[in-house]
Amino acid sequence: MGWDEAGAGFEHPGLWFPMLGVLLLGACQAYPIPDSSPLLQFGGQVRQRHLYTDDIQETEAHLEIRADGTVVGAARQSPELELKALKPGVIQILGVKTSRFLCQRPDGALYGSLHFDPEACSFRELLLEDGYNVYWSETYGLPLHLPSPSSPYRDLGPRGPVRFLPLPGLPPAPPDPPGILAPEPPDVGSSDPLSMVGPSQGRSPSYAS
Amino acid sequence: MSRRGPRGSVVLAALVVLRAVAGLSGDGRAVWSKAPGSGPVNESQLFLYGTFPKDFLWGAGTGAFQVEGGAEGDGRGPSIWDRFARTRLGSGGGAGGGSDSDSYAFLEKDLSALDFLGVSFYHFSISWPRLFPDGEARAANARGVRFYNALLDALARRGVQPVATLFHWDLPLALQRRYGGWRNASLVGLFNDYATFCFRAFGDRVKYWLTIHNPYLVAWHGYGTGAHAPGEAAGAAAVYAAGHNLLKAHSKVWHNYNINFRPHQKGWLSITLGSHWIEPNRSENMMDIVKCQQSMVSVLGWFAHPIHGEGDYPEEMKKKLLSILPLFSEAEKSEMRGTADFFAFSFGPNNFKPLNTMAKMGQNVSLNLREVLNWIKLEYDNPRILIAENGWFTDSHVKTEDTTAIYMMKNFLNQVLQAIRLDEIQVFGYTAWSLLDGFEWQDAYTTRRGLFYVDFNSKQKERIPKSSAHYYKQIIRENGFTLKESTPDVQGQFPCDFSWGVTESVLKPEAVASSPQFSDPHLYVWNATGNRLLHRVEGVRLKTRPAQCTDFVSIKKQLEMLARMKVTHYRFALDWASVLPTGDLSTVNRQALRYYRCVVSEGLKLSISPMVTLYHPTHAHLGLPTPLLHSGGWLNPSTAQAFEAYAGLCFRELGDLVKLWITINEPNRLSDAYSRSGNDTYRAAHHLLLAHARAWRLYDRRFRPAQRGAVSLALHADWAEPANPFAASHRRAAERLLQFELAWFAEPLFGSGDYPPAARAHLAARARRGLAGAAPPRFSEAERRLVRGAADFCALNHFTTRFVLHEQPRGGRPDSDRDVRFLQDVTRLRSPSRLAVVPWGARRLLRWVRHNYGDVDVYITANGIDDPALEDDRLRKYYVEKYIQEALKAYLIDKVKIKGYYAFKLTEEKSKPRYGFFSSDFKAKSSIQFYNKVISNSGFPSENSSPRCTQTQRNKECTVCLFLVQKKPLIFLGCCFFSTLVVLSITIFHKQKRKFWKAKNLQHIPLKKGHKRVLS
Repeated sequence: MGWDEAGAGFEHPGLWFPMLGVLLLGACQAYPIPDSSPLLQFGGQVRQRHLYTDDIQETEAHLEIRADGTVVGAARQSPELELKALKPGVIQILGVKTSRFLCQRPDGALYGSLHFDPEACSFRELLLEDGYNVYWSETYGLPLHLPSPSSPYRDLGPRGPVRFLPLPGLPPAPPDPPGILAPEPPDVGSSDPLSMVGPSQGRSPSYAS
Repeated sequence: MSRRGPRGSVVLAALVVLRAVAGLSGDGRAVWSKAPGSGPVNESQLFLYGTFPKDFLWGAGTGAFQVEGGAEGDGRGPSIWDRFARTRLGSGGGAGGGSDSDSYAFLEKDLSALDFLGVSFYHFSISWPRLFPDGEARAANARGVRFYNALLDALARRGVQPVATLFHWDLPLALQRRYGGWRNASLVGLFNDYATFCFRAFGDRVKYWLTIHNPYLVAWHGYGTGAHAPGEAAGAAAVYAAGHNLLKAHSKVWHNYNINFRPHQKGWLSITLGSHWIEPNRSENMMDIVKCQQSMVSVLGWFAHPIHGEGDYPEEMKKKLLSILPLFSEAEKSEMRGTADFFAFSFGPNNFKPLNTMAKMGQNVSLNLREVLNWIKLEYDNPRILIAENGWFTDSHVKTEDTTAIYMMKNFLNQVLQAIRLDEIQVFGYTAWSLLDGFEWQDAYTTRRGLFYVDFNSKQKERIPKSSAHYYKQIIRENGFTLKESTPDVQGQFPCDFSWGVTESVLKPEAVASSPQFSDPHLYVWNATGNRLLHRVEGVRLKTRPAQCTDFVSIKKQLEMLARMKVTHYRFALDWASVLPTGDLSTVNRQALRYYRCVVSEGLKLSISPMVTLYHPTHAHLGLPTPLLHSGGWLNPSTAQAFEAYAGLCFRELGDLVKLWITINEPNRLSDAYSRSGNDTYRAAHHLLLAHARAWRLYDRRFRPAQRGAVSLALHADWAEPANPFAASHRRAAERLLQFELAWFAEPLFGSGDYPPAARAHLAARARRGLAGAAPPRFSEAERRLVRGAADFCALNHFTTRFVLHEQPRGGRPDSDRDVRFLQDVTRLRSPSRLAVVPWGARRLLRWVRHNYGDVDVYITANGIDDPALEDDRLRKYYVEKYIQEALKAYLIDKVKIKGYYAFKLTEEKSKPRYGFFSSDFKAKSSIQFYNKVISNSGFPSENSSPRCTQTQRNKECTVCLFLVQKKPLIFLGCCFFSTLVVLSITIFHKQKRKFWKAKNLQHIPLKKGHKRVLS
């Protein structure tokens, strides 16, 4: 009698477990849990940063990749860089505005390249305890440091790595609200003062971008 | 038409008094300090369709000296302008030089011109020296009197009201010689004598009198800059003395008329005041607004304040000019005040030139007639306004096709209508200036302002109506602007299988997966205490999972945006150069293809189907693989073969998932890029067509049986309208543009298999005239078979409508062989990049396609506008609504087989025109919600219609799905929590139970004796 009663007591969990299983399976189908990347402590796998340094004695500088491919230290906050992880500890650095990757020649000179060359353009990122980072070329093992202002291309001489602080970009300046800027004044000396007649080139927004 | 005041009720009078007290000078400032318009799609700023008040007066105007001619014949004396024209302008003497319109001789022709227009009044001026050759009103020149009598009688017969100006600048030369013109106060009495004669002689028929036309120009340019007759640059004192005398002359004449003539003639009298308009450099800047006020006060206020205001000059002027400005005595002030029965206003080019003599105060001149009317309303207590002169000029070589004049008139007149309807300004009449081409003062005959063209060198001086005359006639007939272009909105829905999409341009494939930590088999140790580097542990290999689509971060971002847009289709483009870097199949970038496959497959999981563009070149980036670019790009026929191979690869790799393909986006724009010569343009276009046709044939042969998709190419398809609807040449130019832009690609594919004959004929005609032009390539018979029919649907990227002008054929530039130019209709709503919002153009385009190519399936593959707003993008909302509405009309009424609508575009780039539904940093704009609604309604259903598609049901389901997808972690943790709770409670329950049983068993212990019984 006692065993019988005990058996009856286990009938309930027998119903519950399959139900639970169904519920759990339904909830965690095959999708990964979003935003679960361990790299998120950096605010994403891709970081938009300015690389700031004050190791150059005279002045503070931001690393800037220019449209012509030169790399300089700019006093003013330069356009944003995109730091993206390639593999553990290794990143690529892309100038967002110029679409050029930061790359290093075997002699240590920096340049901006439109093409991503994993050899020349991968950098190892090392975090220091004071919050600054140092970067080394993954291939050549050379430290990343800004060229001196006098010779933008070459900066020879044994020097240690330069410490960079990856600063988050400033919030973009609010754009001018429409209507505040005065429109072009009419050319009142012309028979077409409102510049209505124009060239016949039909531009397409879809061809422009 | 009576003087305001006495008839008004007590309340009204009180209101007027209040306003007069509050409305001392300076109120006009409010025009500039108004809140900045609430966005571009502000009802009060849009072109206003509507009519003018029922009794609105329509007129045309002329100045006697400008058109009359017959200078010193028939007893007319010389005027200061005769001398000025001869000595300063070198023209053979404005009037009578044989090079004018000669209205004195051809009066009948002027009257016919008025008949043509259907005006209700004619605003002309009486020539003082024609009536009194030496200016003194002693014996009138009988022939002169006869002329004006004839004019007035003829007008009366036609039911055209005369509006007569007594003095439009042609001062008898004798008065200038004897008295020094208007600098001398004796002119006041002399003018009054002349006016008295006119009232006596003509006042029985003239009910509207204007004393002086634009006294500002007479004083400022006649005595200040010397740009007008008498051409004196006599200094500020002379200028303001002349102005003072002009004011007093007017006042004297008004009192004269008021006392001696009004009782029996019952007319009204005023003075025409002219002005420019000005806008602050920086809106809402108080300093700039003050300067604008000063500028208006020193021109319009100079004459308007004494007459329409308090009888004295504006305070600003008195302060600034101190001793220079003459003083009004108290008696003079009260005599001056209120000496006008309505406000007669002139707004035209003369007040804007020469620009360097204007009192701009460093601000921006403006042609906004509506605002200046508002200024008058605020400064002078909402007077009744007659626009006594308005219009612009054309260059003298323009004959009857004065297209810009049409749009200037449209712009000005709509502003007047807005002022009446929206700002409640009492404008009761409008004078188009001028009726005829004539002598244009300091410009002599270098500009034309007539509604009617006159060949000055001809004998008969025929008045030929210009386009603007036709246009004005139409406005008078309709008494305003009636809505003709667009039919009223319809209610209805698109079919259930309609594809609602959004367009994105080229997606750059992510080269490296963004989360390598799952695919790197190595184990690392972080040397946390030492050099803080990660060290790979050799010899250990971990299990990795296979690559999967979630490795690409950018796809997730796109899907989030697409899910928010709730579209059914996503149109994006592949990057040919990334997929095939060498241009042939020797190197295939599998990673890129995998990326694109992921975009497609992940989208399909959210039931968003792809429309894939194989090749999307842009202005900045031709998008060809480098080797192909170096071998001549599209000028090289082998590029077409390379494209076929590339297309084949894409069909094979993605075709199982992609059912809608666009081979090439906007080949008609791309061919323009080959602009070294016209031949290059046509050759590139030829190869693009062949490339598309090859890809289509390949799909048709090899892939369609299994994949069952559809392939076409997307054309840049803006609509074209004639800029000048009255010129046949413009209508032909608009159709020609469509032939070159659309039919050039559509005719080979959907039509004959050859280029459009109309375009070929145009090129041949140019060649016959010896103009440098290109000959389009010819299709061989094989090519024709290849191309003809090689498209499953018609894909149109439609953004706007172009207003097309015919341009005289020229050689030179390759794109010039279309002989067209574009005109921007300034009255239309437009975007910052000057894209005009012309929704009905879309419907006309769709009809044109159906008319020319039959019942093909049509997809609108891109349609959108740039809106400067980052969040509340009302312009885009308006645009999308109106354009979808027109597409719906085309579907429901015109039976165009529209299969899909793709809004342009998903995201925008930084510092480029803002076309995106999402900003460059992926922030959603408010138009998304609107588009959502249109999609879920499948159009614009009437309120009581039941949803026809099960789509709404599917959407409901999907909101649940979406919730599940979005809250996955929460659900997961919730489940974990719940199951723990269940397990725990079960455990506790059982423990309790066991305790209970134990207790029970213990209770039963004494019964152990009965054990046998139990067992048995």
